Amino acid sequence: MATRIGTGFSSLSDPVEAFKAAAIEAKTVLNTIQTDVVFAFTTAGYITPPGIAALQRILQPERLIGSTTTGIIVNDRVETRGVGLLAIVSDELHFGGASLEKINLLTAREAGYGFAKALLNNHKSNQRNACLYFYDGVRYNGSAFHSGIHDGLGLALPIAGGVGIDSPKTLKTQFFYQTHILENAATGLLVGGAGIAAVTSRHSWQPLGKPRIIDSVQGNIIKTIDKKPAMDLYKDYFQDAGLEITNTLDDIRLLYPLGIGTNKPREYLIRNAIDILDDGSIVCQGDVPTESKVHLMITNKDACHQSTSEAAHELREKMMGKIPKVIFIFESLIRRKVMGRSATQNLQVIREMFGHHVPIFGMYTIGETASLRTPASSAATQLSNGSITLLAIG
Amino acid sequence: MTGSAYPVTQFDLTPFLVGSSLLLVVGISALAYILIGKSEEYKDLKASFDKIMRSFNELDEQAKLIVKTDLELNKAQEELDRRLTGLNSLQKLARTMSMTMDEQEIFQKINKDVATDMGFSRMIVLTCDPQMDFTLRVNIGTEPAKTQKALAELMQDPQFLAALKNGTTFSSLSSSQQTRTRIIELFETEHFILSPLMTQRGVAGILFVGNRYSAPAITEGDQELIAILASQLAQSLENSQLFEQVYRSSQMLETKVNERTKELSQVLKDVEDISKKKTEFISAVSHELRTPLTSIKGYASILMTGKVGDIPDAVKERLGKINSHSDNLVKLINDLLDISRIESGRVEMKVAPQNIKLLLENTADLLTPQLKDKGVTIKLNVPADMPLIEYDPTQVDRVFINLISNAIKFTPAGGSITINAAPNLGLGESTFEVADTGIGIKKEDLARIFDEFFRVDNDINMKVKGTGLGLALAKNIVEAHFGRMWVTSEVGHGTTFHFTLPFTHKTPEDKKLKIGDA
Repeated sequence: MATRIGTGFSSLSDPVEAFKAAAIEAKTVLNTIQTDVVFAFTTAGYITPPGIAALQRILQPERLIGSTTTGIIVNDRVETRGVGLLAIVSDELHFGGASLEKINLLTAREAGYGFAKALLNNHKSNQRNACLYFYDGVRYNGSAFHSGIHDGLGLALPIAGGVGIDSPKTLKTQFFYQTHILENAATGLLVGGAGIAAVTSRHSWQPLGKPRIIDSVQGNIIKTIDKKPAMDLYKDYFQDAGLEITNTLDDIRLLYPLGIGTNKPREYLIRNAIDILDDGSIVCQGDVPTESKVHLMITNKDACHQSTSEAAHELREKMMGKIPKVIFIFESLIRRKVMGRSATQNLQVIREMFGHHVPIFGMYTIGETASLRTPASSAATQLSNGSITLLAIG
Repeated sequence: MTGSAYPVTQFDLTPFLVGSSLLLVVGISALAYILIGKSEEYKDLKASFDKIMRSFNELDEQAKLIVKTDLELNKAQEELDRRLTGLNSLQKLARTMSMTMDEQEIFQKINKDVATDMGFSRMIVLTCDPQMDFTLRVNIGTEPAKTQKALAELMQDPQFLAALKNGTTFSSLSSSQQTRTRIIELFETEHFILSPLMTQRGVAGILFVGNRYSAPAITEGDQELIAILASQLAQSLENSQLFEQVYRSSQMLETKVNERTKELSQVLKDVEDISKKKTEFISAVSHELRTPLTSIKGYASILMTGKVGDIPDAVKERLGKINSHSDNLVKLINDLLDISRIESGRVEMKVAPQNIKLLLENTADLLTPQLKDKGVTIKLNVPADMPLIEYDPTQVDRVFINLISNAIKFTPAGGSITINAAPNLGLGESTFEVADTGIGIKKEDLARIFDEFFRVDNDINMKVKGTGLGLALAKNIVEAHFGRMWVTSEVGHGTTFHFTLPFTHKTPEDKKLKIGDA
C-alpha cells in the first residue's frame, strides 16, 4: 500500500516545452510509466492542445484535471507564470473525476448537484474521503453550487474548491478535463480509499468603520444598504478620497471586501463586490443573508500570515496526528496581493507544521469554497472571498 | 329620578368626587412626573444615541482616512514588489548576458518573460552603426513593420535625436508633450521609456519599453531600471564585439603562426638537411684526404730516413716541412672528423664517474712546457669536496686542452690562467671557468667565437696558425655531455670560458638521441 506524489513546475515561455519540463520533473519522483491522476494549474496562455498532449504522453494519467489561475503554488514556490503539476500514483487511494459544461444554463444548485452525480458515477469506490473542484464562478452563485454538491455527496464530506481566473481584468477561466479544454464549466475529483481528509478555512479581514444594514438582497445580489444603493457604501469611503469606483473589478473592491455579520459575534462572511449593476446593486459570488450587518473590511500581511497559521493548526488537529500525503491550497489572489513578496513565507508556515517532505500544491483564486461541516466541526458550508482553504489528504 | 319602579338610595357623592378628584390629581401628577422622568430618560437616551452616532460617524471618518492610507501603502508595496521583481529580473538578465559573448545569444535572452517580469508588455531593441542605420534585434509585443515605420518617423524627433547624441534616457514622464504624443501614437503605448545603448564609440542602439493604455503608469524608478538595463546591454554588446574582434585577431594570428611555423619548420628541415650533407661531405672529404695524406706523410718520412738514397739537406729540409704541414693537415682533418661525428651522433662516448681534479692536474702538467715557454702561470681552484662527475675523460680532456691552449696563446708573458670548478648541487651540475688575463675578445666577435673556422682577426692569430675548429669542437663535446658553454670577455683584461657538466648523464638511449641534437 503506497502513494507516490510528484510535483513539477516550469516557466518556459513555450507552452509545450513548459508542460514537458514540468511533467518530466514530476515523473522523476514517481518513477512510473502511468499515473492515476494529474492536477495541472497554469497561468493564462499555457493551456493548449499540444501542451496537454505532451503532458499526456509523458505522465500518461488516467485522470487529468486542471484550471487556469493567476498564480501557482508548488511546495515552497509561488509562481505567477508557468505550468504546475501534481501527479499521484496510488494503490490505496481511489479517484473519480468529472466535468460539467455549460453550467450557466442550469441554476447554480442544480449544476452543483449534477456535477456531484457525475463525480459519483465516475468514482468506483464506496469510500469517499474528500472532493475538490474548480468552477467558472466569477459571476456565479458559488454558495448555491457548493450546496448542490453537498446535495449530491452528503454534508459530512470534506470539500474544497476554488475559482481560478486568468486575471482580475479578464475574469476568464479555462479548465481541462482529460484532453478537453473547457470554459463555463466545472471540473473536479472525488478521492476515496484508505486514510482521512480534512479541510480548514480562514480569513484575516477586520471590520472598518461603522456597521450598516443590508436591507434588500436577492440571492447573491445586494440591492440596498441603509436604504441606499449598495454601491454607495464604496462611494462613501472612496470618492471622498478622490478615487473613482469603476465597473471593472479594481483594486478597491478586491482589497476592501464586504464583511457580512453572522450569528456569532466578530465573525464575518467575506464577499467581494464582483460586479456592479446599473441600479447600484452589488453582485457577490455567494449568498448574502438579508437584514445583516455589513462592514467594509481591511487586512494586512501579518494578519494573513496569522490566519494561515491558524488554518494549518486546525488542519493538523483535524488530521488527528496523521501526516498528510498532500496538502491542497486554494488561496485568495487578494491575499497574495496584500502579502506581496512575503507570500512564500505563508507557505513556510504550513511546511514547518507538516514537514518539508509533504507536497503542497495549490492555486490563487477569486473565491474559495470550503465545506466545514465535518464530524469534528459543526461549522457551516461556506463560500468565502479573501480566504485561505487547506485540504489535506492523509 | 321620580316614578321609578325601583327604590332609589340616596348617596352623597361629594366625598367620592372629592376623593376621585384628589386621586385624579395625584394620578395626573404622578403621570406627569413619570412623563417628565421618561422625557428626561428619552433625552438622555437620545443624547447617548446621538453620541454613539457621532462616534460611529467619527469612526467612519477615521476609517476613510485609514482606507486612504492603506491604499497608498498597498500601492507603495506593490510598486516596491514590482521594482524588486524588476531588479531581480534585471540581475538575472545581466548575469546571463555577461556569460555569453555571442551577440545573437544576448538578444535571445531578452524575451517576453523578461519584459513581463520587468513590468512591460513591449520591449524593442535596435542596434545601429555609426551611420545611424538601425537593425531590429528584439521586438516584443508589436509587429516588426510597425517598429520600423515608427523608427523612421522618430528619426525626425528632436528629443529623440538629442537623446541619441547625449545618451540620455527619457520616458513618458520626462519627455516633451510633442515627443510623448508622437511616441504614444507611433508605438501604441501610453507609458514608455526610451534609453540609448551607449558604448565607448558612441551610440550603439536603443532600448524601448512600453505598456498599453490599461497598464499602471511608469515611475522614475522604472526609468532608472531601464537606464541600467540599457547600460548593461550596451556593455554586453561591446564586450561581445570586442570578444569577436579578439577572437578573429587570435584566429588570424594563429593562422599566421601556423603558416610561419610551417615555413620555419621547412627552413629548419632544410638547414638540418644541409648541415647533415655538410657533415657527411666533410666526413667523406676528410676520409678521402686523410688516406693520401697519410701516404704522403709516410713517403716523406721514408725519404727523410735516407733508406731510398741520400738526399741533400735542402731536400731534407723541404721534406721536413712536408711532414710538419702534413701533421697540421692531419690534425685539422681529425678535428673536422670529430666535429662531424659529434654532430651526427656517431661518436661513442665512454661515460663513467670521474674525478675532475685529477683530470685538470694531468692536463696542467701536460701543458706545463708551453706555459713555461710563454711565461704564464696557471692556478687550479677545485674544491676538495668536488663530487664525481660522469663524463668521457678523453673528450672532456680535449675541452680543457683546447681552452687552456687558447688561453696560453692569447695571454702575454707574466699573465695568468685560472681554472675554477664549482659544484651546484641545486642544479645537479658543475660549472667550470677557464679565465685568462689575455688580450680579450671584441664584443662583435663574441657571437661568432664558437663558429667553425672562425678566427678572430688579431695580431696573434696572424702569427700563430690555427684551424678555427678548437672552440667549436669543445662546445660540441660539452653539449654532447648535456652541458652548456659560453664566453665572457673584456678587451685588454682577459677572457673567461664557462661551461657546465651535469653530475650524472642521461640514459644511453637519451644520450644517443641528444648527441645529434646538441
